[in-house]
Amino acid sequence: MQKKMAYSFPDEVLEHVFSFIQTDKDRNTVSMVCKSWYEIERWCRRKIFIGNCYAVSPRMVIRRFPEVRSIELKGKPHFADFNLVPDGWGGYVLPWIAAMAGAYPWLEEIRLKRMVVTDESLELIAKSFKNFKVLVLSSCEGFSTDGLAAIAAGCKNLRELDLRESEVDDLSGHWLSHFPETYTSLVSLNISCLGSDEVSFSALERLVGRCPNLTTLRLNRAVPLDKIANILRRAPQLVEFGTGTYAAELRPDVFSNLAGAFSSCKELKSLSGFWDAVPAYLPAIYPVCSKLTSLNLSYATIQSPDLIKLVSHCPNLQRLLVLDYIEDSGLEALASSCKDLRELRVFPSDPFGAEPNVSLTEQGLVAVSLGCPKLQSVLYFCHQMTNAALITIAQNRPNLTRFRLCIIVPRTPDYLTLEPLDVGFGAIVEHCKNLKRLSLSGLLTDRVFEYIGTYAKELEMLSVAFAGDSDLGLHHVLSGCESLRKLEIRDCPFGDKALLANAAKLETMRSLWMSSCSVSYGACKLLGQKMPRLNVEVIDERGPPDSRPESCPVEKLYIYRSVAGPRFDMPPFVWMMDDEESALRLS
Amino acid sequence: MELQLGLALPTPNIIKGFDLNNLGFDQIKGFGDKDCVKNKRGFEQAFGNYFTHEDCKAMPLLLWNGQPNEEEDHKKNSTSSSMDENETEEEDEVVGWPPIKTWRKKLFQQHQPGRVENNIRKVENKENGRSIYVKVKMEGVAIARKIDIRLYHSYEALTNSLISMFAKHQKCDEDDYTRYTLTYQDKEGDWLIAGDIPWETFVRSVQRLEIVRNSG
Repeated sequence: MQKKMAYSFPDEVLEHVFSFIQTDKDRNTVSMVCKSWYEIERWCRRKIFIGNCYAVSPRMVIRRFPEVRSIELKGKPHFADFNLVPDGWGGYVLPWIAAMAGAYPWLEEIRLKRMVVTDESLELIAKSFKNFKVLVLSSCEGFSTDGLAAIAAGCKNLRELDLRESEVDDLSGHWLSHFPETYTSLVSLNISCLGSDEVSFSALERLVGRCPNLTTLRLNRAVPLDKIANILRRAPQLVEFGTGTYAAELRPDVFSNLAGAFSSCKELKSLSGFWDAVPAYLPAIYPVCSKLTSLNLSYATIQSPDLIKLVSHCPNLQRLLVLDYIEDSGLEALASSCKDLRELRVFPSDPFGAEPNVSLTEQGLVAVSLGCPKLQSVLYFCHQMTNAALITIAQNRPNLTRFRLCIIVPRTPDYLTLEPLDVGFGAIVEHCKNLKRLSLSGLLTDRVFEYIGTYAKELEMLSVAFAGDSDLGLHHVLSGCESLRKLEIRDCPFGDKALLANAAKLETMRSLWMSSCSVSYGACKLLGQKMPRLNVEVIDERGPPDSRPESCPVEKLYIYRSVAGPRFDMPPFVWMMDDEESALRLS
Repeated sequence: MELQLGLALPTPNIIKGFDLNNLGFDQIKGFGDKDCVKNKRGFEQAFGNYFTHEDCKAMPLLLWNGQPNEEEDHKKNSTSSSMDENETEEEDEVVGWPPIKTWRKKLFQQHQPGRVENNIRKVENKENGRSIYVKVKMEGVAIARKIDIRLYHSYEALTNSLISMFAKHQKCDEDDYTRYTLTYQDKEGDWLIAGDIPWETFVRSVQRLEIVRNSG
């Protein structure tokens, strides 16, 4: 090989050049140039991202990339967030940690999403990786504060511990006191997901006080308002801060102490928390509002007038998460005062109520689309929408890259014309050329999927619910959306024909989820047999699918490509549609 | 390049000219071979023309004939009517809809007095300052609201605030509070006129509020 490469750079030089190439995609491309680049690149790859933990085995990853320092792994399908994936489906991280414990003693970062993380896994991390620095557990489950205590006690160089949206068994608030008294390296701590049980305040205060580089601190609901000032005064360098419960009897001394503490934090850019917020205490953050770029008020049940006052103090806001209590009037205020806004998420305060409890309509979103020229990411829950509003939004904001609209009652038509919302969503995909993520809702026919297949050439993730009328809909999407990586569908009349006609497309995607659709067991079997590099999982809690006729639709279907073959940790309600070889072996 | 590992699936080459009925065993075995990385496939074989879309499109398990499930066409017309039934059933919740994360849902449930009353009471006993949300309606106004009763400390403050809250929707005289009466539903489900019992007792008992217009 060396002889052939006589006119090339020495390996060391190429390795140095490659070190400047950061994105995964570019590294992949580099590795495909020639055999020698492949070899050099794999030895100097420090960071890997695996979008599906069952798409490859730990052994294969370790064999190809022997010097990894940072790994990001994702487990369950996205619909697990909404309870559509039965408990015990899988996504266990332990096999990965166990394999890496031997192979990567210098591993520094583990970032997990939607995975099952046991205390055993956390203990193994704490004792296996000598220079461990970053642990991010996003929407993970299966562990307790005991596992966190092991991390605190064992990882001497830990910089970041982020438990965002994880479900932690909160056994004791004392895990924080397991950080050694000599430990000072913490940069980021997010414990906002922990239950409302007690937190060891003295341990927390001491920890915050002795870590001079702490820039992110997100507390949980158990931390009362009167503790916040103390914590802030110990860490005036904070950039991101999440309060605990933001409620207390209004007392002038408490208020002025709090306001003083906030204004002493000159670097603050992001605020969150605000559980049970009492409006009277909100002015305490006004002094820092002008610098804020991110504000998460989605736990704060504050009404529109107070929200309006608050957002009008935040001219530099780029990201706002809020409940629908903001109402149309609040969004109008947002549109006129926050010209730098890039991301808006509006969550429902009463998601299960049939009638609207607040006056939040399509008008609010239209106002923001008009007033905020940089808006590119939207998540919006509401009760009513019109095609005209969607067209206006699309024309106002062709720069949208993420558009997720949830009209709460399924199959709600345009409330003015009673037409389907096909044309409105069609305008979104037509005008927003760079749209990467789209969630549909409301009354939709196959026509909307024709628009999507025709225009949404950059779309990477599509979520569909209660939409379409035939296989044609799914066919448009699978045959038209060239960049599609993740497709999730529930309660749609899409079936075998569209799926089988586009079987090869599935190998270019990360995954397809279909639940309560019309895909038959027979089609799943055929796919599993003919597409050996796809794992075709039938998830059916009613019992074995072969106890029903082959034409019977399956409850849930999860298809993903894999170079690792079938997984071995399937629970009894999951059936892998295997290739012919193993089908024969079993029979 | 999904895996972002460069462990790209050698999709197109093998799939080209793939014949449904004649898929040999040996070929299948090759796909599932876990040792493909170690065995150092040739680059042509491993990555081939991975990026040429034409190849990816080449292999349907079924030819699309442009005639989607004809037999289901009649469903089209029935969809909207079948939904109407669902809409009327407020408690008939579809699993996973609206798409809200489980932990966020838990947060809301604590704010739903009717539904998870036990939770609310527990929380309240533990910490007296917690919010208590109740639904408020005004006679003749379509949109109901939810308010945190904990934010108020007297009947007067509550009534004033509610009437001004609804006044912007209703062309009613904001100052003339005497034209309206505040009623509430207690834990037993009875509707009573607000103001007869001490405020704190009222706060613990109230489930819903309605503002009614005085007759005459």
